Amino acid sequence: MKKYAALLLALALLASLLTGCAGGTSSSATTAASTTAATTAATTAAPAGESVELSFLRIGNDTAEGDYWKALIDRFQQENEGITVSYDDAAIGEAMETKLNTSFAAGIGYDLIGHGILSVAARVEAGHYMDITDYYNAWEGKDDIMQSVLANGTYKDRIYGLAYSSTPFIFAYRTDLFAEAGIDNPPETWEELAEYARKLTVRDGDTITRAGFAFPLSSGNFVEFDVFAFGNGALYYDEAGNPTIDTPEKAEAFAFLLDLLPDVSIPYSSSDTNPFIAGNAAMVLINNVALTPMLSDPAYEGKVGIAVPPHNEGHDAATFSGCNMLFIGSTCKNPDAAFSFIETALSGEEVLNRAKVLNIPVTRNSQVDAFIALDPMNEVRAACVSCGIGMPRTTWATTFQTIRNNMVQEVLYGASEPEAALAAAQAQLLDEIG
Amino acid sequence: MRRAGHKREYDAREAREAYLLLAPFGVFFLLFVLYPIVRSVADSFTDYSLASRNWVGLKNYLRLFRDRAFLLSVRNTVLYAAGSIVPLMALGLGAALLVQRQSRVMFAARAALMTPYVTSLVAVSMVFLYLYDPTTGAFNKILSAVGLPRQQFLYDPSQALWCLVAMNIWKNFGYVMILYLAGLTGVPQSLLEAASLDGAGVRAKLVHIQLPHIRPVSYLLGTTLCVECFKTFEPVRLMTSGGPVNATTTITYQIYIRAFSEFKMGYASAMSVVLLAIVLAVTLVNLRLGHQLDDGGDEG
Repeated sequence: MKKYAALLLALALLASLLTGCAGGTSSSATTAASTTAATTAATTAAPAGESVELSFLRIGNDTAEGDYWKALIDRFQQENEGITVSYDDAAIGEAMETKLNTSFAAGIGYDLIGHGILSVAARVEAGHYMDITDYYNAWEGKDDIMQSVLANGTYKDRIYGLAYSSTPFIFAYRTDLFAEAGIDNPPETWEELAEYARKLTVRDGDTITRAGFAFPLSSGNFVEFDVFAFGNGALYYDEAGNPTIDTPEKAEAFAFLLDLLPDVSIPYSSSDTNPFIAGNAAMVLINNVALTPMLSDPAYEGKVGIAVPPHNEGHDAATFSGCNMLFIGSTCKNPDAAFSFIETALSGEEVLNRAKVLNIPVTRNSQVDAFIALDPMNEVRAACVSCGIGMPRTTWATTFQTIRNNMVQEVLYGASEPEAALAAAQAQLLDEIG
Repeated sequence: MRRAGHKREYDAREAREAYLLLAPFGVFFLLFVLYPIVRSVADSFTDYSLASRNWVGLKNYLRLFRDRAFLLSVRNTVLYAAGSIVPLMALGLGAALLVQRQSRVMFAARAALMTPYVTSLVAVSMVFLYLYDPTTGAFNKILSAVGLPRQQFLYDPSQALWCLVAMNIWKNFGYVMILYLAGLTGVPQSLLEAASLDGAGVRAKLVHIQLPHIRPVSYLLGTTLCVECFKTFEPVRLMTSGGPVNATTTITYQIYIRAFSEFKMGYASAMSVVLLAIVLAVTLVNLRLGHQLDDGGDEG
């Protein structure tokens, strides 16, 4: 009897395991069936009596933006009866990539994906993003979207993503410390930056206790170096799309930093709290969004200013500007409904609403004036977007990041001379590209 | 004859039932252990990315030998393992000997020493990140207070790896202590008493009685700690991202970067196969060494 009971238990366990496997198939089959039915008649909303389910995965798991998207989804669902959007998000970096990879590997994917520039080439080549050029051409807002922003979602002359937010690196400074030091305006050139940084640095013996200008030393993504390179006329790649790591402009940027940083910066990495946020730095290059908590902190009210990053004399101001876009997944069975959601999210009204709620620059030309009127700092944010350069839209972009990060550390730690490090990095990237 | 037939039938039924009972585990093992291993090995001979999968033969393996970051990761992983295991075992054994007596104080001491081991590695990493901070960290405050020069810790390429080793030792020596404590309780009390009567001191009893008896525990610890050290990932990811200048990058971190940041799954698979081979070799050497010493011990 005992034996039969054990046998039954084993069979039940085995069955549950197999059922678990089969459950996924069954569920996806159901989804496929319902979505296929919806696709046959879907235009901009679900046909009467039928429901359309859209899955949406957004990069970034901060509460403020998550709440914003959930509220937008509620409004969209109310206006589009029959369409349901299920929201999900993932932390920037591997969490997002792993979630997407797993989902597409399982043949499920997401209908709507909010992701950054770095994903464009790799995911288009992997067949994860749908070409939305035709949708874009038929969209009423197509002539209003900023060209610099539109370019971020374009790959091989086809449009795959439309931007919903720009995240430029801005130059932040402490106005109270500037006033104490008798400095009236933020630095516009490298020379001014060096002069002010030395003036604002505080020491305890040989130890710098407050950085005049904070620059990361270890780990993380050295976008800050790119900002200096751009401010000296350098770019990520040439017109033919070949990487341009090894250029005299970048060597000059390194020379400037090597001369300045030992006198004015304290060590920190992306794992640490930014010293500017922690109150240990007078100036810093920082992601616009990352500065938001400090700007809303009553303790720093009126003590923080922002500006376009300083550039080298003889060159135009420039900065790095990240950009998040909405893509339609290649597995989406209801692209009409998905693009309808994109239209809602990128409508002029919603773009401005997002700017108000999240403090992020607008991506439509018609909203720039209204955006600037919202907050005196928005003029700087808008200027940073217009002179912003995004990550390369190439399949080698992520490899470039790894190599660039190692190269910057090698130079900052004195393990390699700038020229040698730049040449080695260029050679390594070309080797990796193959 | 008929009885023999019944016996065979009975045996066959028993075997069928046994296989059925084992089936859930077997299915799990095949799907989630064996298949991924086989798939990884197969992928290591391809350029598998998210976009395509083409056969490239030994290209990935040959590339490993000229990948500076990977070679550094092998060196760092070996140093991390070597720097962790010996102090861990020495400190763990020392602590076990100190707290092996049965009393309330010793029980409390054991609990206290075990606390770091049961604390989340993420939490420990965050705390040490603060402690090691060169500007505001507690360690530099202590150094300054006693008149010693401040250190860069995780920002100094020559110190960063050893900072991670020190944290690893602090976190895990409680685990080693507990296993040694279990081993020490197995040492026959009569032997220790007889040795005492013969005039053996603490050191003689440790070297000639206790250490030989807890040798299996040492083999077990040597093997498991080795495997754990070779798999080290979390503190590197959380505290240094492999920096500065690749000074703390480990094999698992390189696998992670190549696979999940650069999507070079084929190349990352080749790294995984190499890691598997290294761990397997170290484990086999450990086991072999253990058997040889045991044989020698028996003969002796």
